Amino acid sequence: MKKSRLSRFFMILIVFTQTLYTLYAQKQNMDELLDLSLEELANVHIITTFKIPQKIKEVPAVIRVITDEQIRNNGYLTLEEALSTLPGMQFRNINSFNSYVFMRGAPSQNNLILVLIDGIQINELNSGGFYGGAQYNLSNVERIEIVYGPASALYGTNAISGIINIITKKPEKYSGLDLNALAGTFNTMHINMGYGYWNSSKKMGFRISGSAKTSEKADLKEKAGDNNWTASLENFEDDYSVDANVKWYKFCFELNYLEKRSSAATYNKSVGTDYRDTGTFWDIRFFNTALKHDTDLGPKTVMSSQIYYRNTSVLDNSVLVVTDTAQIGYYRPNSLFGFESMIHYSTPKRFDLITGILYENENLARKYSNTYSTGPDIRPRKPDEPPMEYNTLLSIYGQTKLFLTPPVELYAGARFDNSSAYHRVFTPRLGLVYNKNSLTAKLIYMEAFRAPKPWDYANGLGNPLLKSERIRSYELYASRVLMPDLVLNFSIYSNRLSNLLVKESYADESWRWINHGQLNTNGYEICVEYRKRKIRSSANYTWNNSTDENNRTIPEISRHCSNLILQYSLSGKFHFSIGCHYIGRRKNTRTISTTGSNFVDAAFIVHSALTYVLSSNWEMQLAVKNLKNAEYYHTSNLSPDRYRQPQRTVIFKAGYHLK
Amino acid sequence: MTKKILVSFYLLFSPCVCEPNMTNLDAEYGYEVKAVFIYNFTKYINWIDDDRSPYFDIAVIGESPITEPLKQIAQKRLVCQKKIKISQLENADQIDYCHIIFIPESEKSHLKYIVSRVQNKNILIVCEIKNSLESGAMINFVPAQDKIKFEINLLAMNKSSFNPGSELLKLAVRLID
Repeated sequence: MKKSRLSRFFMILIVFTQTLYTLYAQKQNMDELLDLSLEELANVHIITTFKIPQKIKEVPAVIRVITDEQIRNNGYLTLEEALSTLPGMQFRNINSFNSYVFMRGAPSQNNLILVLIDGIQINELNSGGFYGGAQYNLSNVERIEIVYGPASALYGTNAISGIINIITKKPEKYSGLDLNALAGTFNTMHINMGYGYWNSSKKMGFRISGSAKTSEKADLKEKAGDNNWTASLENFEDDYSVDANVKWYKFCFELNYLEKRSSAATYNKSVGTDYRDTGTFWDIRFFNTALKHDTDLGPKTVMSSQIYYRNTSVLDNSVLVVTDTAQIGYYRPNSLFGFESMIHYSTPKRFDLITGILYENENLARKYSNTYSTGPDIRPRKPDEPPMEYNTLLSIYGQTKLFLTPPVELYAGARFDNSSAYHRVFTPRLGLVYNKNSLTAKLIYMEAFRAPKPWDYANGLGNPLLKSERIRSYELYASRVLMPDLVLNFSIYSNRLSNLLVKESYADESWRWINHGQLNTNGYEICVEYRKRKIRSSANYTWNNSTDENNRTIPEISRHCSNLILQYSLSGKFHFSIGCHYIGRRKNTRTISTTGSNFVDAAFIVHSALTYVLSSNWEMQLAVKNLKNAEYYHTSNLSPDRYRQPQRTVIFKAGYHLK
Repeated sequence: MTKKILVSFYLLFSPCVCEPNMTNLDAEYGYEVKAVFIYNFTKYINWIDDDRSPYFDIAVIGESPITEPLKQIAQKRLVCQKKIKISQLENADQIDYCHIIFIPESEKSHLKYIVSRVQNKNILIVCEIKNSLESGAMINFVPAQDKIKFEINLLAMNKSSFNPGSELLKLAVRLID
């Protein structure tokens, strides 16, 4: 029944698009560019996630972009809220110190996606996973570029499902003072301030932005939280962030500081267990700093270099767990120093080459360190520094673009990593890109890997023979401008992730990591975007089938998800936005005790925001998340059987800008 | 299901395969931006009122992807109440009169000769060639990270009696004055 409905919908869409094509294909689309002022035109950007600026349609990958306008008008507060509008995104939000993003049907602990801020990774160093949540200063984000599919050929380990590159606001474009404050239900309060200065004649300037946020996120006490926790549950998240960007001629200094302090109580079920849901405290700090420089080596050659330092430590005041007998302190320090130099040689319409070398030296905790207090209400002493381990990584990479015959371009790339931890890995990629008239088509073969982290080799009984997880991916993508304001794109992919790291347990309760099994994901994504002056809308649908090596369905992944986003502007003063999200039924990792079912139900969620621009300086926004107050759940791989998601949340925001 | 998807995919995107010369929507994005820049430049420059042509003439030397987006603009916009006319010239010797001349990177080796042919003729010389301002070009496009910026040779503009507006000068990443 469902399949026949789906087929009918698809056939109607085909007839619709064919009709539109016949009617409107001869028109040309220049109006949006012509509407821009000279200053806006000078700030039109081209995509940067693939190491060098390129047009989206030329990049041999599927890329989607979330703009600062979308972030602002839709009232996004977390990275996951922004990602939730895109095709192929599913989530496991545990309302704790982390939440998890599953991209294109691959469930994980966030260690299959690379998150970058201005091109520098922000993933946690010990686990390789990034952190979801509100610690990203979205008020200072110019755009978020999301690359779908494996990308280790340019970025190395962990770029399995894709890359999320957060591009912060730069002083050339965002000068003046910004001040935003918001307050809402669940004791949600945010404040952020940014200031930018730019001297175009001296080509120097700076921008600094900071934010502080607090929220209790949702009511998860007793019945409201599926009876997983008591009435005394603590469930908070406090985030602090600072972004700084200083430019002087061809030098650029960048700094990003993110700190997330949150409870960790929802990690474990407290009702009927010896865990307590008060007193937990998780404090993780992400610190990135980089010095970047560009040099012209000739009319066709540019060399870009950067040195960077990263620190993603879980601080020693953290209390991961409180039991009936003790509080358990936790400490996990790490840091990384790196250098990367890249040369880009380009002969327009003939040949294009990127080649780079990267060296990194990381200092990781071989294992986290713990301390135990003598009672559930007594803070533990700070843990000592755990044994540390130094690793080095030397990588070389290259990607070439050959203009075969207009309009076909061939991309071929490869990266060779030599790590003292996971040894040598070679990763190739190949792509054909066709750009003609209103059609873009891409045929892509990609590989990527996720190397075991040092503690994976040592955890439990240990396994020094662990190999990297490897993915092979095939994708066909096509985008077509059906009429000046309407774009349709379609992607079919087939991925196979093998050598999965899984836990092997023994009768005496000992265990170790081994390589076993595979994850196959096949699916398609279809997106329609319509933009015309006052209206900006997009709709997407994803079908994904994730199975293991025995063709069994992978838990936590729905076959269907769909999004509809509609924005309407009235006389430049009012902006109304509504987002509808549908996710189908998902198999859970275990039977849910409150329902007796092995499945988490489908959900239909609506978010909305109304922005009123009072003047060029002032604007106000009223945002309502989960407008229908739907009771819906995410799957779990932890002790709670499933995770209740936030109820209706009302947020009021006021913003001030002084140029 | 897979068969249906493939058939649907074919149906959705088949028209373009059948009609390869259908529209010009996909001209180089960078050149679309440059073409709109050129149109915008006309708003910030004092054009001498003359009757030499009923059109506002923009000439492109050699083959360049900018020609098509310029033609698109010509169909949609006027400059100084005149229709815009785009000409593609094979070489500098074909230059008679125009308001703006665009010299693409492929004409780098002929830059000095082209400039010498149009100097002092009240023609705005726009290039996309590194260091072309030093050879007498008036505005030059330069890539700047992920954006397109421009630099201005105010001396050369003034010599041809152009007085660009302060808005234009403010946005230039380099100014020779």
